[in-house]
Amino acid sequence: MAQKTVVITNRLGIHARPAALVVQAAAKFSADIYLSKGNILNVNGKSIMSVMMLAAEQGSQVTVRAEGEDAEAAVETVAELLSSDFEGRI
Amino acid sequence: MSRLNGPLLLRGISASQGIAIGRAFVHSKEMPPIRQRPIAPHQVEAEAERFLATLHQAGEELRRTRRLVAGEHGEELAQIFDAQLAMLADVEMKDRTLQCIRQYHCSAERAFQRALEEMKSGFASIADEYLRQRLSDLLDIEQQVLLRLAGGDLQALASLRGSAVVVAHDLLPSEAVHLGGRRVKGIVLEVGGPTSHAAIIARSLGLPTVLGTAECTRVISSGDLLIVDGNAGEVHVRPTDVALREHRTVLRRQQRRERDLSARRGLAAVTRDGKEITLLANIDVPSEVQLAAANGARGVGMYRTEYLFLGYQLPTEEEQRAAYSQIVQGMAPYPVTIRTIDLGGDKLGMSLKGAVELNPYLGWRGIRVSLDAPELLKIQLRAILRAGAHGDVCALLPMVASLDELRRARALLEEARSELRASGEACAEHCPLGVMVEVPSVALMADQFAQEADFLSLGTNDLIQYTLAVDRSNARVAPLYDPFHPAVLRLIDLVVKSAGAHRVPVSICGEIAGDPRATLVLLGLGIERLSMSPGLIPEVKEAIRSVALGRARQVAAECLQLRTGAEVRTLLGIGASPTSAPAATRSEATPGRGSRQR
Repeated sequence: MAQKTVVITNRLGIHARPAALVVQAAAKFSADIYLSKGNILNVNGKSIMSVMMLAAEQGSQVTVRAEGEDAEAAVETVAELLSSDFEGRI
Repeated sequence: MSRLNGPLLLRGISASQGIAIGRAFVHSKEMPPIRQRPIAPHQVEAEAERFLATLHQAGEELRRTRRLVAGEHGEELAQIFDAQLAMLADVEMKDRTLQCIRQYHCSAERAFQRALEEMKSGFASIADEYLRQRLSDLLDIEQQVLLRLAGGDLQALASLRGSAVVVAHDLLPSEAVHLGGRRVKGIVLEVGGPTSHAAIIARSLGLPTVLGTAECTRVISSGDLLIVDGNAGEVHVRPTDVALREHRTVLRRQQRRERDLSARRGLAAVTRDGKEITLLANIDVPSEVQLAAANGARGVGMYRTEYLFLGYQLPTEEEQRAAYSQIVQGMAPYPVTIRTIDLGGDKLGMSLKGAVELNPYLGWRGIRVSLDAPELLKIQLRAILRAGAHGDVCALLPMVASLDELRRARALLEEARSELRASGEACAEHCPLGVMVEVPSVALMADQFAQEADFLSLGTNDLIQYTLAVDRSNARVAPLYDPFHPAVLRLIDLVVKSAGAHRVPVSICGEIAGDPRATLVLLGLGIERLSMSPGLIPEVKEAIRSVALGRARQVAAECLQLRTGAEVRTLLGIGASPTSAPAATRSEATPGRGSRQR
């Protein structure tokens, strides 16, 4: 199991379009990926609705956790994306 | 279902002008019963297959709809469906449904419903307004899939035969697109504002539309004869012979007039004594440029950019530039004025820290939001400047109340310009920056604003609301909303004089600009630029061609000395005070420009 906590920097938080990008990136891994924020625990990182429902705003902390073969790489990729400003990607 | 049999008059909000007479087609979405009993164990896999196939089918249909909308209405409208497509492909939704089918032997529709239940409540409890709006996408998907699974009448609207008036509680984006073609004559909805998707599509299709008629689906039955009066915002249900005759006459006159006006389209907007008046268009989406040009607009007086910002995601600089360029190129060689966003901060995904505004009209909106999120405003200004590389653009600031707001916005405009120059990006050499005159403080300080702004634009809808302290969406006080109140005319006079003294152009972009009954007094006050819904241009041009400026000035001077709105109306020969209901409602609620100005 791999795990990492990041701070959301995108000023509009993880809105619909960033959420879609996160889900797309997560789908490339075979590992199960879970996101947590505050008291919302372990939502499916490959589900756009779950990621949107996190309602992760700028400045909030999100923990990425993955289980499976490529867990390390999955956490790195998803965490990096979540903490980016999504500039040039949305 | 309660049903009355006699004639009935419903009042609502006009979203698209014109008159339609036809039979009602009540579009109700009654769900077929959902199978509650468990399915036999040996059917489980077949049921799972059925669900997956349906999901696939719904996705295909949605993609087809998206292509259709992109082709007919442009990419920006088509993006409404992107959120739905992404949600339809959601793994969690799929897995939960399959699990429900396999573990509990639920029917596919029951399983799908259960899977969505939790997600729906999750969305409903999100504090962020922008994200919460995605709930409506979720409901749209639910309906699409459930109707398919349960064998409901999915194609009700698409299969509409004969020409009819569509009556519904609300229309989802996926339904509104079926309104095209000749089968629909008009639209009556229970909910929806003038900027709803349905309203914008209705306007682009030129269908007379009345929104906000509470209970219309309960009191109207399919087959009832209806008169949709999109000019007055009224619906006559099972009309009397008298009403029918009256409206048929208006309809015939309207059709004859449209033919006449289109024959006179090429004529100039000049007064009898040769003064040329500039007629401009107010538009919401880039594709309306064609309509503006076809009606003889000499530019866009106000492009409301809000629509770009209400979709699936905030538009990027490049997306904004593309939309603005489309308008600039479509309108060339005439100028295009782009108004920066006039939305509440909540609509832009900016948290208000849970505070619901008690008085949004006096709250955090327009330039106030933009200056609190300067990066957002700068992106918009950069996009405007870039679109101006190949045409004539101006930027217009909404909801300004003080000079420092203009100064701060101008500093951002300059910053944006030097950034673009530094990176070698092509951009407008000259981009006039104007101010909406809609807060009375700006009208009163117009002499100062005229020295710093490059142009002024009178947003009379809000100016009237703020000056007379009337919220016209409040039915109890709406009759007090009087565009002909002498206080309003005096403010217009003050602004025109101040602008003239400093040689700054001034235009009107509120509803009053498109009201031919107001043309005489506005020209008399010295207005030379009028901006309105494209469809209103021909009528106003006719009015201008009947005006003699000398006489107009006399009338305006007299109006400024009058004491009440009723006196002004009487002098202008437009009868009825705004308090004597029918005629006044009619005059106030004229075409689809509604409260959209805000």
